Amino acid sequence: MSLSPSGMIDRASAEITRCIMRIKKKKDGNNHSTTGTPTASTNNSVKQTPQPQSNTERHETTNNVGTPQKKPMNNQMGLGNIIMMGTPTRKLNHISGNYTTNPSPRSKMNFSSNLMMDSQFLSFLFTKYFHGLDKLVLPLVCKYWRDTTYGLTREYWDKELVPVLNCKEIRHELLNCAGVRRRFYSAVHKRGCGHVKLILEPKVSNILGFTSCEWRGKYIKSGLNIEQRIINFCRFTGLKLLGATDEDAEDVLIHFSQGSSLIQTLKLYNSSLTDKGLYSLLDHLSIVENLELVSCNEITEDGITKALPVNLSNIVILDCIHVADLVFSSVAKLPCLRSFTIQAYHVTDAALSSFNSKLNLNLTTLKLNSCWELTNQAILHIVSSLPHLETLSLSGCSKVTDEGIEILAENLTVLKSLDLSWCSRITDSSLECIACDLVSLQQLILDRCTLVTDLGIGYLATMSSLRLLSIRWCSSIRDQAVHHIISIKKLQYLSIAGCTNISAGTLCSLSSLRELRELELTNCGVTPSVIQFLRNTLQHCLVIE
Amino acid sequence: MPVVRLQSVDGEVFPVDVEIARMSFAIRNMLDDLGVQDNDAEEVIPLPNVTGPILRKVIEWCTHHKDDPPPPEEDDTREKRTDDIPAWDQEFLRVDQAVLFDIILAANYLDIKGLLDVTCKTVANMIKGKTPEEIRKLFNIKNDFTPAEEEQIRKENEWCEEK
Repeated sequence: MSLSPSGMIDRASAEITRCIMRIKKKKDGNNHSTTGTPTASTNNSVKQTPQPQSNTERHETTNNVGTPQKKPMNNQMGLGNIIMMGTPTRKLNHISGNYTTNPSPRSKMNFSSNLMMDSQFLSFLFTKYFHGLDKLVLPLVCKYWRDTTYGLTREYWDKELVPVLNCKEIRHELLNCAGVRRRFYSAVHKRGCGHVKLILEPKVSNILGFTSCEWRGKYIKSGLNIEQRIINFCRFTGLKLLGATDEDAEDVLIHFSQGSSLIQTLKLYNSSLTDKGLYSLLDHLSIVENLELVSCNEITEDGITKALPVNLSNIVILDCIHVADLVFSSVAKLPCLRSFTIQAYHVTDAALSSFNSKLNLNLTTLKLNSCWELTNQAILHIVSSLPHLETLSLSGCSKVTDEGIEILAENLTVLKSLDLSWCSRITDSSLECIACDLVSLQQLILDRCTLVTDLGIGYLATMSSLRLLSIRWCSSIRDQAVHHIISIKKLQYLSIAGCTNISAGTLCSLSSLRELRELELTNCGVTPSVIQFLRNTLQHCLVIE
Repeated sequence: MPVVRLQSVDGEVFPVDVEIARMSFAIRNMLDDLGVQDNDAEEVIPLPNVTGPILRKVIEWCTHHKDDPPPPEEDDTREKRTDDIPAWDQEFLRVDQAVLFDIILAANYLDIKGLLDVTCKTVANMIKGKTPEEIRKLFNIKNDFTPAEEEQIRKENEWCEEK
């Protein structure tokens, strides 16, 4: 291929640049030969230090484990070629770790040879390859690892982990030292937090605020742990209380005053907290945006209504026995509400009429899990008041029928995720409506929809935006369904767990889904050789058996 | 196929297909910057950070993976998986810890993303599921905590759950 005129000009100008550079370097009086000149091309910005030709004068060894030996360099014929090209041994420098024009997305790191004591390497390793609870062992290894992990960004900790205060366990611990507890609380109460001195290790504290700190006070011996734990949560924006009572809620107010400016996510699980406790807790933690109430059976709907902070955007309420329709009307009044998840058995269709298409414009996620009483009427309310929903779950709403799904599909046109698991009345005709109308749908969950057959799955084959399909325990599914599924080329997650009537050959054909990242084949009666085949052919896919 | 010659710090020279050598972004950049054409005479590229045995391993890996599709885009949610090391790589990386670390250093220095990724996954897998004491033993790390400090750091980290 001959060079185009413009290419010629580029090369010529690059050559001129080189000459100029060469002359400049000479003028600078650096000790190097004519061949030892950098040839930075015009389009990069390498920081060049002219490299002395003589090996004895080579000082720059920033990242070089060893400097090149004289002998091999001089003996290599190839080196002669390089020098004749006017591109001298500065290459050595050129691809050292300091190289700065690297176009790869990652900016290169300088690792020291002792990798396990190199904070840059460890940070890279821990951030990129450790997930969730795997992270928690790392700080325990040694001080260096502790400081490295604690020095990582808040995101490292906060994104995947939430600190949990097991209130029952605390009570148990304190019963063993009731005297200390009394003295401790009275001391703190009397003296106020200002009198308790907070000592921070400056190295860590300036990054994280409070990671490594201790309370000093003569009364605080065994109570200290609890104080410290709460304080140590400061690197987090979430807090989970297990088995909390009103007294524990008061504790948070007293001992965790920083929480009011830190905690954005509050989770209350299995707690006998009453309306009063909930109110004072949420009143104190005034910037909470995400609230989860799970199995809090003392809390009433009135209590929730009074306690909900106005800037809540995500609410999850599961298995709180007093919760039903009334909560919907209070939740619907929250102007910032984006996501609402509820599992409550006594919710009726009327509850869904609380939403309003103007007021609840931001509400894009609605999950109505196991709201058994809901019927197609509820769907009518949803489509009229929340037409912009992107995620909807009707999991376990078993009274919903094909008619409801037809209305849903016709109206919720921007839906991206739909969960119809355990909707046992759903048949293939629902899937036909979904495939026709929900063109943006990316996730579809049909677990335990036992009336769905191969025909219904056939409709889905045309859904080009579908990324996730789950048909666990759809017992009517046969080979033909899988043949349809493999034409959904962009599928990334597929579960056919519990579908036992699919032949080995058909399962192997799933290997043509090249985008798959996760494939669940639990309880499918799959042979090890099929699993092995799929793992080998789908290298970037997690195959779960 | 045009060839470049890679020279290790101990003077060993390895002739390598240009396309394989270019899997190293460091070498690729250098060749590009220098305007080296495929038909140019054989190059010698001295690699002052890599020893012969390690360079041989690196070249072996690159040769095996030369036809791999480009790695998928960076994706935070998926990157952390470490259980997806291909069987060949697992076998290839069944080496002494010191060699594994040297390969990591070389992969970083030469900027070979895929090799750095798979070696780091291997190290992560060595750590996961182990107790702190087992990890210390594995990497010969001294436990410099006092018993009280160790107890505190343990407490600080056991009160956590996955979101």
